[in-house]
Amino acid sequence: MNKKLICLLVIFCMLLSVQNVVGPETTSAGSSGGSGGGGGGGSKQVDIDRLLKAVEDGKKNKPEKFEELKTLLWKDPITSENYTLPTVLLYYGGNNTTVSRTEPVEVMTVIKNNNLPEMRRMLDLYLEAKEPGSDEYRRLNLFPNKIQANEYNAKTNITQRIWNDLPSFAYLKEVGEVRLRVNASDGVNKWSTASYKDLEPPFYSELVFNVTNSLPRMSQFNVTPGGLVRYNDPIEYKANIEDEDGDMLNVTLHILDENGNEIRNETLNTNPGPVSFKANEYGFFKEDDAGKNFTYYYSYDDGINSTARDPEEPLTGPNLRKGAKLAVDRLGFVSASENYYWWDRYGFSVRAKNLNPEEYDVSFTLSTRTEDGEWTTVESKTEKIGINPVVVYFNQTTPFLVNDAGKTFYYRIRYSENDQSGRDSLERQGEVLNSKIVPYRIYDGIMVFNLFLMLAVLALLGFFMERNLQKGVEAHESASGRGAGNGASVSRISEINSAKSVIKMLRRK
Amino acid sequence: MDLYAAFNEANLFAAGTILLVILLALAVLLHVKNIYSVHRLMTLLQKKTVDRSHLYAEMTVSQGSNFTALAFASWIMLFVAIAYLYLLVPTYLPYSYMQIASLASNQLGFAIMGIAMGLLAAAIILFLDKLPEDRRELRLTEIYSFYNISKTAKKLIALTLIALAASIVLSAYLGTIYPEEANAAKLGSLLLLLLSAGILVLPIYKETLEAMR
Repeated sequence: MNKKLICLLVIFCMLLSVQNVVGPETTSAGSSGGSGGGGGGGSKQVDIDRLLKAVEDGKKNKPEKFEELKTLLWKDPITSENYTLPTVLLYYGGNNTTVSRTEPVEVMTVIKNNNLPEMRRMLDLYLEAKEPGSDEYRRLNLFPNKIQANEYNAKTNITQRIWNDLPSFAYLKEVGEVRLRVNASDGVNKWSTASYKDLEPPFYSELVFNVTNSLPRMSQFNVTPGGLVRYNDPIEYKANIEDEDGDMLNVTLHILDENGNEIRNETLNTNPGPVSFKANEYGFFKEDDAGKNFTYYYSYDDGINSTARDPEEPLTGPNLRKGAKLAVDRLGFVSASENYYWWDRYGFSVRAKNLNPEEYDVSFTLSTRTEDGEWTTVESKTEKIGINPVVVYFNQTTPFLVNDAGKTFYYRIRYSENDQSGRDSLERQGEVLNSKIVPYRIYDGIMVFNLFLMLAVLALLGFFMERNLQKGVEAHESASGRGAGNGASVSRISEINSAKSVIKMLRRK
Repeated sequence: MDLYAAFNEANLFAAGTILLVILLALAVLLHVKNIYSVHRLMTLLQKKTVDRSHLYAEMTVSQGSNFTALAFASWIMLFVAIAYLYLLVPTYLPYSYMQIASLASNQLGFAIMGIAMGLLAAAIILFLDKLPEDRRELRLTEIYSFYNISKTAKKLIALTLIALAASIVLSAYLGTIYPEEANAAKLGSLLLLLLSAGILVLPIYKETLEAMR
């Protein structure tokens, strides 16, 4: 409406200008025209700014006059009685109107405007949807989709719009029938695609979709570690959940006791993919649960549909075993010598007893390391641990390598049950290992053998070289002249003989 | 006090090492010089140029297979003794046998190292033996062929085998007690090494002295 008003005011200004140009000569000494001198043939130009200011002032100070001016200047936009409403139809190319929530949909509006180009007006389109559980249509596009008067095909007078505001129905929180329609307006008339009758696909007056939801599915149920486990072992419930719609899912783990009664449950809000519940993280099991067998199942939903129990029959696990409650102390070591050589034999020991009256097999594992090195398992053994203290010995071990020489060593005994502090190992710092590298003395048999072997090989090497090179013999042959006689020229023999005599002379000297 | 300090183990070992290097390097230079002097003298007496290969062919004297074999063994053992003294435990060089801890603690580690060094020495000697005829003065296999060597000198050269073996044993002892040190063994090993090297190059020095006279 305002735009029309501005248009009319501009036309009004133009009319006033024309009137000033062709109208009678005025005697007022306006500043804008007065200074023009003889250039304008006596006419006065009206300043557009002054005109606008006058209209604005009139709007404020004399609203009645302003309204009168508007009425006076109003011109009906329809310039011809031959104007016909453009045809606005919904278009959907898909064969199936039953779609899942996340399935992409491409809905279009096709507009045919048979009016002459100069008569066409801009159209405002709104897509509206009636969603499941609602009685009213809801506008899907915040701003109107505008069809300009000049964008129709010159031959067919048709144009179209794809509704990008509706890529899919993933936003729906409830599934079912969704009805779509388009409202159109040309500034004067308003109508809906729903008003058209007897249309056939792919054209629709109202497009009706049956929107469905994909149910999440769980698989690969598992509890690790398998078999008998302690209540505080790193027990983990694992599964995989899939959802074609990619919704955020609520997965609930239900843990049942031996009577099938639910004792605990925990819900996880997760994306489709692997699901994991770590028992220690959630504190599922306590010491009192030792010796009990548990079962479990899952329930889940995607916010629309839910599955109350999957699998239908609860799965077994975990089976918690009874265990000893150890009291462990007196971890120590002894060395074969006070020098702590790396090659020495070392003995390690730890004392353990069960605080419970039963007797259990407990495995003990000795490991050692030096400074920043990794723990290396030296030996493992299993002992029956009851109420009476038992000293577990690891005797005559050789846990160190030559590379450990000169470094501080550490030792650790790990046991298969927890001790009084809730730990499963004891660790101590040992001594600094002697930095001596060679584990033999010079007079040890092995060193004597080493040196004898080496000297013998070196001596033999010299003899083998001479045997092959024949240097002693070759020199002798050369000195006797035999070597020079073979094929030598007379002059060369003469040269050699004279050389011989000179060398003899030099040697006599 | 300062004089006493100057004769500490480190300085003595360094001085001995320098002396060993000088002894061997000078022997090489004097050996080459001796040969060239003979060649020059022969050219002068014959009043014409004599081919060096002819000179070498006539100069060489048979020293006998047994002595030559012993000399080869001595030179190889000298090389091994030097390696044992300077490479078994860290000295002046950045590398040492003790850095290869798995070999050092091996039951046959010392023998492996000695034999490996001996083979390396033999390879070097054999390589030098392949030098051209006019470069025979650089062949270690023929070093004694250019000199008159008395029976006493030959016995001494043969005895270097025992001295070098003793040097090797002392160096091996240093290896077995590493990282502890034994200065007496270290200096003793070096002394035996110097003595052996001196005896092995003695004919060259002797010839030089006689030529100077």
